[in-house]
Amino acid sequence: MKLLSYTPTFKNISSVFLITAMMLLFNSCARKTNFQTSSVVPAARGSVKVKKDDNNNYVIKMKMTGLAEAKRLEPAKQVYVVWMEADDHSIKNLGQINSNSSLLSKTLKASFETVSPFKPIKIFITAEDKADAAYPDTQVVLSTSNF
Amino acid sequence: MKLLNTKTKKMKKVNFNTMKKYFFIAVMAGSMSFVLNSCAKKTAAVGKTETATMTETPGTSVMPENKGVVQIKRDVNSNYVVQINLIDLKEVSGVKPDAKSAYIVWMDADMQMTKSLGQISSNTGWFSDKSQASFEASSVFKPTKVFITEETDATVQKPGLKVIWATSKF
Repeated sequence: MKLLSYTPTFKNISSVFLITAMMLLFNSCARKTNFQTSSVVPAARGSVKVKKDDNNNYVIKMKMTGLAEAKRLEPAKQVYVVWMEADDHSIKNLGQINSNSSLLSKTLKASFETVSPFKPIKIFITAEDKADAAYPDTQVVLSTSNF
Repeated sequence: MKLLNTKTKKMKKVNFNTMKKYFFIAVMAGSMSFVLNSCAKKTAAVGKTETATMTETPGTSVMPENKGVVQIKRDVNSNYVVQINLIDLKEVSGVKPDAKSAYIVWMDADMQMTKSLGQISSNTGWFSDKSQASFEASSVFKPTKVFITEETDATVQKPGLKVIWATSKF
């Protein structure tokens, strides 16, 4: 009799734990933000995930599709450069990003990952002639809204 | 005979309930460990690499017994990936950092500039060796030297004077 009354309670607690754990799992620790529709490359879509790592740095991961080659832009450029606006409003060059298609699919795909000690409030991409540009070009190809 | 049947039924019920209990515990433990692991940093997720340069750090006058390795690679986007593995960060620094201090990784680029790459701290994972520290960051600039300083603010723009670990020039 004792066992019978104990089992449903245990089951209920287990279910609550399970649901909480699953919610936490799917929520994850990362903040995901989509890029806004680009007027320069309208077919480009992508998202940025920002989370903190074990070293307390911000990990910035980006995945994109449909980003045309920089050389096909008007005017033609050499590379796409990823920039971030930090919470102190400074602009940092995070690195270049290349768009490539694979053997199995013609879809242009690009991915990028880096870390920064500075908290990003916005990520954007410009087309540049040099990957190590100190300041972004005035024409922004893609941008997120403020986090 | 009737009594025996009732006892057998009860036994079956007990066994079934016990099994159910263990099953729930297993599912709960599995999902909780999955959740806790989901925040862990994934290292070496930079895809293809082209060239790799490995530099054994020299014994410095600051910490001669220090041991660490820096690897410079190129990722799929042609950025430079800097990977650092230190055997004992506390031993490297020589002092136990207070709550306010942070170890910052810097790189000298070939354009005579110094750039902050991020913080490094000892591993904290359940199954990782807590005496070790690992770090990975990417930069569009080619690094010529990597070093670590102890700072009071993790977001400083220029390195302080307390260099706790450094490589020679690549």
